[in-house]
Amino acid sequence: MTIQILLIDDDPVVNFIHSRIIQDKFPDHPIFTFQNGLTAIEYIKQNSHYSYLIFLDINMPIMDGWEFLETIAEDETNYDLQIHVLTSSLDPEDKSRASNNKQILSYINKPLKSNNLKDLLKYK
Amino acid sequence: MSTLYDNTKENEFSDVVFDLAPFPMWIYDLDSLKFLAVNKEAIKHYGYSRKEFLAMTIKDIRPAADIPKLLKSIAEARSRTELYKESLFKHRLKDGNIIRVQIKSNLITYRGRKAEIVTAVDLTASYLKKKQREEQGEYLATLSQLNEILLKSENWKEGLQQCLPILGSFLGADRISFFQPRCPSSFIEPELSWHKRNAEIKKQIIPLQPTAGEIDTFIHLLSKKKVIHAKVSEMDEGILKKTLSKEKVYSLLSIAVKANKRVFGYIRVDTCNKNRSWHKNDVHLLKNLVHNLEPVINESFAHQQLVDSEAKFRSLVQNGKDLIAIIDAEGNYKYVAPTSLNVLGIPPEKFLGRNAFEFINGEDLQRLQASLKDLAQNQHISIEPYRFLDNSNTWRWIQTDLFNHLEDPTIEGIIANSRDVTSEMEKRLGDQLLVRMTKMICQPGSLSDCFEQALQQLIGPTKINIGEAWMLSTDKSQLFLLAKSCQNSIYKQFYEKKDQVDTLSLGQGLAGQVWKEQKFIIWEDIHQCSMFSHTRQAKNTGLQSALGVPIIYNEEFLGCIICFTKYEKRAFSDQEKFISNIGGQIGSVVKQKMVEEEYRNFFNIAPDPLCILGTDLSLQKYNQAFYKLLGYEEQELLNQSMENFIAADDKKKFDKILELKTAQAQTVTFEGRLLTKQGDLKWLIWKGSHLPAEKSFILAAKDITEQKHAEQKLTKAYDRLKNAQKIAKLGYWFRNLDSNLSHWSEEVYAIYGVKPTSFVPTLQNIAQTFHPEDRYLLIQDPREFLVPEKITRFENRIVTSSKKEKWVHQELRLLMNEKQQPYRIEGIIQDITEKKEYELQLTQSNERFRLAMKASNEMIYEIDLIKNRVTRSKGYSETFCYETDETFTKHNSWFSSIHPEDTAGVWQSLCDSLENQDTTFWKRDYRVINEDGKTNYLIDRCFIVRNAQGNPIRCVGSALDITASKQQLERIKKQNKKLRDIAWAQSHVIRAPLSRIMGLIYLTKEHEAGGKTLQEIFELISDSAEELDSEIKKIITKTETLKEDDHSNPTY
Repeated sequence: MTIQILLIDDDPVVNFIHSRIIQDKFPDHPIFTFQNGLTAIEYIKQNSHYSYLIFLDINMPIMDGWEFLETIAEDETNYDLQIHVLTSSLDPEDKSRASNNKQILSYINKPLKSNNLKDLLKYK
Repeated sequence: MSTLYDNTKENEFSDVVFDLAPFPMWIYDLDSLKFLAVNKEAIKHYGYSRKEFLAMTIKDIRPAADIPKLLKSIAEARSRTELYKESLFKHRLKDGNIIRVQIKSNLITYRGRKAEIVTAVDLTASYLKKKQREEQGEYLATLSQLNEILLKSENWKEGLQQCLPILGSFLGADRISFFQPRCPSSFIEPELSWHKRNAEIKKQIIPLQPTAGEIDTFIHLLSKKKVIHAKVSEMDEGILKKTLSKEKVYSLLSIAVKANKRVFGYIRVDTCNKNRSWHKNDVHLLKNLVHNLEPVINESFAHQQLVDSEAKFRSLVQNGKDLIAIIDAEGNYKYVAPTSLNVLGIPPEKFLGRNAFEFINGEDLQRLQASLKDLAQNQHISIEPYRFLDNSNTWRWIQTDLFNHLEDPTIEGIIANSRDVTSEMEKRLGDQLLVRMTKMICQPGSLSDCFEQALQQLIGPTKINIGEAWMLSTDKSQLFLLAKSCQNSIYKQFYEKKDQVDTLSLGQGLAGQVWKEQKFIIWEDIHQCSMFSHTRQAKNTGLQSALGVPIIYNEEFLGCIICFTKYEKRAFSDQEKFISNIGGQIGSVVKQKMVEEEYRNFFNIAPDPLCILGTDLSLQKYNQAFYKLLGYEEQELLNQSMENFIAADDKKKFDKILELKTAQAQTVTFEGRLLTKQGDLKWLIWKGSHLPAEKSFILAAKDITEQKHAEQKLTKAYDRLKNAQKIAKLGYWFRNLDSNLSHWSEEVYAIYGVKPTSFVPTLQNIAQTFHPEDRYLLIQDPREFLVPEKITRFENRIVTSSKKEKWVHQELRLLMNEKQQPYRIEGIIQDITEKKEYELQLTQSNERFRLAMKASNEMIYEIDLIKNRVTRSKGYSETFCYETDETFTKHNSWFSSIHPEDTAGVWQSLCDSLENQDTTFWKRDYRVINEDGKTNYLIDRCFIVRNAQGNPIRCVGSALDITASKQQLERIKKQNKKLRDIAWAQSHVIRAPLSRIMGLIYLTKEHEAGGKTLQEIFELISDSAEELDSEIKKIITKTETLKEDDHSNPTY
């Protein structure tokens, strides 16, 4: 099953940067961007048969990253998701909260770099 | 007178003829009797020399005894007219021998002297021969005489007595005696004796008795040598020599007389007053006499034995109790000895023509017939006892030896030598029965069970069909049926009726009769006997007779055995005797069994543990109390070692039991503990004795566990009391009103600071210990101010021996006796000096507390949970409305001021803390409505004081108004929020554009700007930079706002 890569961030510039970097690394995988957690969830529910590699921002309008994770958790077993938090926040509380969340595989500070993607291979 | 021959010239020829004459010749002078001439033959024959002859007279050649005869002869010769004479003389040779000579003499004149020429013809040899012949003749005649006497004598003693004088005469003895040395006296005193008339024998008036050793030696000598020649003077010193010497016996000749090859006696021939030698004939005669005497004696003995045997036989046969009969091979009588009349009451002639088996008991018939058949192969058979019918139709036990003489022509039959062994058999049967019954009675078990088995033993070998044992009750008022036994099921029908009697009174029934008369009783025809109550049952079961046997011990009637039999009295007469004896013989074991049963019952029901130990301390016997005490089942302890149950620390105490074996004391008493099965310890007082005969120890114990526990508790309680008194400094004392002296406990002395050895608690001394200001308390008579049995309390000061002042609390009580008169004061005294000091300190502390409360800005309070009162300081009395001293309830004045939303929670919280025994501190903040109606915030804290049981008794706390603090806190919270917002903005908002810039740069450098142009990238970077700048400005603005807040609302 092809893995789809989702970038969930309200900043389009960030999405553009990250999509370019990811595309260079994973050219065979489609990349989709979403402005908030809600739109991302809707897409995932409609396309639940795919496996997803998700880069999730925290601070977003309508549904921030934490709300997205809570919503996903309700149907966790129906989806094949690899979620990595990708945020500009240096708040230790955010980092701690992420580490305690079993859905989150890693906590990455923006900007995303190719090195970050190399580490993601171990989560495959 | 004829012309004497003149010795002239013819003398020379005559001299030659004289000298060479073949016979001794001499010439002697008739006057001087001297020898004038002797011839050679005389010289040769007599041994003298010529010179010697011519120097002697004719007297010198004569034995001294012959001199008178010589002189007479010479006197005759001197006056004789005849020339020639012959005579016989005895001459003595030079060597002393005496010869018999025939003297032929002629008177002559020799050389002018009147002389006689003598020719001596030595006739000694012929004389001796003649003498020998005479002696031999005499010997033979004597011997013949003696033999004749012995042959003819009917009695050897008479014959010997007749022989003794003849013997004595022949031997020339002074005394001849016959001794039969059966004893020392008979060794000296002869059985038969003869002594020569006028014999000088001195009889001893009281003869000396030789020792047994002398007798044995003499007899032994006699038996060896047969003939003893002895000179008394040469005998060994002893009583025999002494006796013979005193009797003037000089020499003796003794010969043994044997009968049946042993020395029967001896004949002794005594010569008195002179020693003599015994000739051969003397000894031969004696020997012959004895030789002929011995057979006579033997024959006499044999005859006597025969006579005795005959008499014995006659006695046995005619007067004895043995039965002698001769039967043929089929058992028919051919001869019966007269003793049959004595033994069986049947005269011998009644047997003749009859067969022995007609008289024999049918049960023994087969056995005897077989024995008779076996006799054909054996010469002798002994038959074991069998029953034979006597004249009175009573069975007698007879034991017989059969001797097969069928081939003996003189007998042609079988000799049956029989003996009545009825008594022995009855005794044997009785003994066997007694042994069996005794064994049964003595075995372990109850008396009734044992007796039942004993009755079985009685029934088995006898004709008894039913046996009952009736025992006398303890109060001796009745007999009760202890046990019964029936031979088979038929006889059990005897008891199937329900009207069976188990008790009988005196005289009632057979058992009652036996009890009454205490003797053996037989009832016949019980099936129709009016005295018998179960005639129908007897008839139905075929019982004919009943026997009652009393059981008696030491003249005490214990009970009786009642036997029923289907036989008539006559039919079991052979068993009647030993059955009737049973009662007396088993009396002792029955009594012992009864005692044992009583003892066993006492042993078993005794409430105290009892046990019997072997020498190895193994448990051989114990009662119920013992095994129940240890918690075991009855059989679990048997043969176990007592040591397994002894408490480890007490094992040495139990060694005292073993010491009983060697100790002088017969009992030992000690305390020792045992371990129960559950592992508990039981305290017991033991008392033990050694039973040497049974090789065991008997122990009785008393369980004192509870007592010990009580003692221990009491001791502990007392110790605790003492300790408590010591800790509490509490002493006890009492004084009898009629005495000046008080009795103090240890603590009282300690309180007063004195020692019992140095202080006597008299009233005067005690008064001196009181503080002078308090001595008035001792002046009054306690009977005047003390109410009987009521406690009076007071406190006073005392001064100890070390001049230390103490406070004591005293409680007194006046005690009354049975007559309700006061007789004693008792009291307790407690050192309350410390308490007094504490009270003082407490007072001071309370005062300090009161002042502290007064100065504090908190509201300090104390809740007395016992009295249920609360005391508060006035700290907030102006701010809040409350009481300073009131009852503590939920609706107290303070709680009424608490904000309604907080009241329930505060009260519940406090109550929960009070209930929790682990809680010693309570804290709660709540709102209180002040007098202005505004809300104040207070924090309330208190310490909870609890008693030993954990129950709260006091709370001491304070309530602090924290309203100002609270407000300050709110402000601080707001400030903090603002600061957090700033920090968040720094963390998130600032960083977003920054990370965008960084991302764009990275994209441009590493990923060829992601397909965008540099211009586009720069514009994106510029937008992000401006956003960044804007956010920084916002943060600065917020920071400034915080500073303004601080200035307007300072915190302090």
